[in-house]
Amino acid sequence: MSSLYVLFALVALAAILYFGLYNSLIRRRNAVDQALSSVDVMLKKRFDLIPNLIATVERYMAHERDLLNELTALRVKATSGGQDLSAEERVALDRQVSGALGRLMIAVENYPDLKASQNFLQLQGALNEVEEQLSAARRAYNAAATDYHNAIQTVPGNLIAGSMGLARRPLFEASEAERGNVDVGALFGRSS
Amino acid sequence: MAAAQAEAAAPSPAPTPSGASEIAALLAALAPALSTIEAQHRALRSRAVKVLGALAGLVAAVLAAGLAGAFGSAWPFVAGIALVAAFAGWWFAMHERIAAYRDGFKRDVVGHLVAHRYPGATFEAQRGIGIDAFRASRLFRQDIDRYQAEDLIEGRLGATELSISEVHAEYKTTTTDSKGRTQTHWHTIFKGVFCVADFHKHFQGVTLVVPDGAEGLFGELGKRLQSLGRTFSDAKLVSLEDPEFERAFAVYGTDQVEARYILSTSLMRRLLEFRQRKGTRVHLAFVDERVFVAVASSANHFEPPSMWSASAAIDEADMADYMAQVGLAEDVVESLNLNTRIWGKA
Repeated sequence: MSSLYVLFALVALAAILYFGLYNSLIRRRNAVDQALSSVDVMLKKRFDLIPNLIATVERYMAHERDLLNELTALRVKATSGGQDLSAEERVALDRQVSGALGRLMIAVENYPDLKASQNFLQLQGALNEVEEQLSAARRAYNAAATDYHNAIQTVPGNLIAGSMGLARRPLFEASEAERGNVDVGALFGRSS
Repeated sequence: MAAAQAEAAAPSPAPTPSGASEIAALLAALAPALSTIEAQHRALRSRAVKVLGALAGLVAAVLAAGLAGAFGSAWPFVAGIALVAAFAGWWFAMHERIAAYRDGFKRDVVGHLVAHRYPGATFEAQRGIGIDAFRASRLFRQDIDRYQAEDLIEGRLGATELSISEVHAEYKTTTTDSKGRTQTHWHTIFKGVFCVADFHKHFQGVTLVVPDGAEGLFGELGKRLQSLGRTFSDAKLVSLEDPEFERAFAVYGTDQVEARYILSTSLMRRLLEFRQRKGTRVHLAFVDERVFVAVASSANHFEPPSMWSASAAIDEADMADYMAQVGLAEDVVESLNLNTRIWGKA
């Protein structure tokens, strides 16, 4: 009889531990989703600046049509895709847009009139602001994702993560182009 | 990120130390004021020696008379009165003069240094950062029973509005022993330099950067966690990606994204350098669009040479010291990069 109690107690204990673990993993995954949504808000803010930016610069930048078209296409892709895009696609899209904007800001160097225009300076300020906030949102997402990865890849979380269908999330990393390109930041006058 | 790389090209956050020629020029410009201070110091010192001698003589005479039996059994009482009278005599004879000496030094010497370093800024020796601003930082949760602040510098450094002063905040505990005697003990909450400056980014929440327990013991961190947890439940621990920064500081914030928006990767580096340069505990709070910086220090800044020192002559080294004290405001602005206004806040 008493061994039955022990068995029952053990099963109950295992169940409690399992539920606790399950909940903590789900909470971490939700934190990652929440962080990703704040990245989305900032990405959208940045996309909203693109039409203005293009309208301002295209009068001056006759020779950069391809770059401007690329930016427009990326924006269309992002806004039409909306929430259907997977996290991987969003991370990739973010990287492409960052790259294209970086190249645009380098190209601006060749157009002194544009650089001096009040409109452009305002846009550049707004872009700096969004980039800074975006960077913060990416870092918050990376922190949440790393926390989540640690939970699903270490004991005991890894024992049940597979059966729960919890997989790694992509991290936002600097692209090769960004790593190699010191000038982008300098052109932005960013020191933070 | 590209921004992090741009950091390498950014100007060094270290403040410009006063060059030897600047110090020499300041000494020359202040020569009349300094010789007045020296004369005041000489007069004060010789008066102090005389007053002290006279009062010690009085007390000694009373004691001797008491021991010889002049006051009978009441002699300890008389000796006590003599001692109190001696203290009162010292206060009447010296207090005002000591205050005048200190105030004169601060007005004529420190005031000049502040005006030289920060054109347009004001220096007020009697005023300090108000207790409300100190509380608004939310850095020190202990109830304050005694608060003193002095040596306020206020002004605009570049694009940044800033106030900085010395602050000493304390709380008291009273203990009653078995015989019913109560004793009051004063404990320091914070002593050092406290600075309030306009921050260069917009934000709504609260972000606190406090020294991590790695400086002391685990208990310290635990205590901090508890005290913050109790009175500041909406600020959660923010773990950042820079391991060195994480070892030096613990960050709490009401908004995880905003905390990172404020504490950019480069600002974390700058704060680490600032702390290393100061070699002391540094607290920061980002509240109401302002940054509060508390730099702990046991020293009393901007004070004239001690009344008892042999001479009040100020040499190059002393002047460099005073300028370094004045320079802290600029150091804060440079270290936090507050004059870089590219994020939509003018």
